[in-house]
Amino acid sequence: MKPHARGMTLVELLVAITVSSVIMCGSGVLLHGMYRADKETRLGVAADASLARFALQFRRDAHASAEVMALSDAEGRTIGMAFQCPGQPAVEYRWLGTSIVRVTSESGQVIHRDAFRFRPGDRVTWQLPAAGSAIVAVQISQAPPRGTELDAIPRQRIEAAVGRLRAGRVAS
Amino acid sequence: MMRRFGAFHVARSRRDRNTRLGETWLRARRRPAFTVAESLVALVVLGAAAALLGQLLGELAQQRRAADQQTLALQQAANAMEQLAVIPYADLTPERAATLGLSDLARQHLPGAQLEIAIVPAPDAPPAKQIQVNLRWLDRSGRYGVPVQMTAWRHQQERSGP
Repeated sequence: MKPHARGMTLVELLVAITVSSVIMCGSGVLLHGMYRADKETRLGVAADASLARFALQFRRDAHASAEVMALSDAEGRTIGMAFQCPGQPAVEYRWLGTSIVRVTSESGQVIHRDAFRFRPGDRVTWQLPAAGSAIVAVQISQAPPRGTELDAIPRQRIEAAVGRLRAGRVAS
Repeated sequence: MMRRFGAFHVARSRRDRNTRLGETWLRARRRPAFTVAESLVALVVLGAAAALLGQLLGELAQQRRAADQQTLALQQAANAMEQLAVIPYADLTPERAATLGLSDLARQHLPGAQLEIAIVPAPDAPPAKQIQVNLRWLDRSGRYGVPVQMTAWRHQQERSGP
């Protein structure tokens, strides 16, 4: 008589299912991690390039300007700054939630617009020169982790000397 | 059936044991199963693969942090340059430069950061001063890596007034 063919026991089956689900969970977590790391790297590279471009342009505008003014919204919060120099187009920088927009205008007419996009969740604060100083600063902060009560973490700070190319003002 | 010492059968069903209760169970006919050695090898291979991937992710995060530090250091050095730019030419001395400290941001993000500013006269006409800003910090291995370095020249006769 043909012996009865034995199958797998329930315990074996359960063990196999458990082991494979653990492996699958692990690889799922790892794959997700890889995906996230890749995405963050791509965004980071773009944001860093944007930041470098912004720093260069911002310093250049500050150097060439004669004076700087704060731009405020209806509630009096500083949302940007404007560089002015007689005989030159006015340059305005504004933080629009995801990017800084630079607007150049001549006698009320916009002649150029430029945007610098930062990392998602970044915040920007503008600091006007303290009394007796000619340094303006832009501070970029990272949003705190979701669900925490922490303040935004400062990530980057760009300072610029206003009127650097106008030595008469700098020396004062 | 051959006696297999040292080969523990991972999967031995209850039925197996129950039906052969009267017999010497070592003699009993067993179906092939995984040995402990085999399952251990499989586990080790899987564990090694997981550990390797985990390490890779950790390495990626470290690289990102290092890149962020580099970007920050670059801007910090440029900020120091800006601060030096508003000091009048005559006051631009190593002593005055030494009063420029590290910003809170640099202290927070760059461990063991050191800012060195060298100001040396440059043999130029009109007279000039060479300014060198050097910012270094400890990397992951606790050593000072390649510093961020910036050099600029200031000339005595600068454009004055509008």
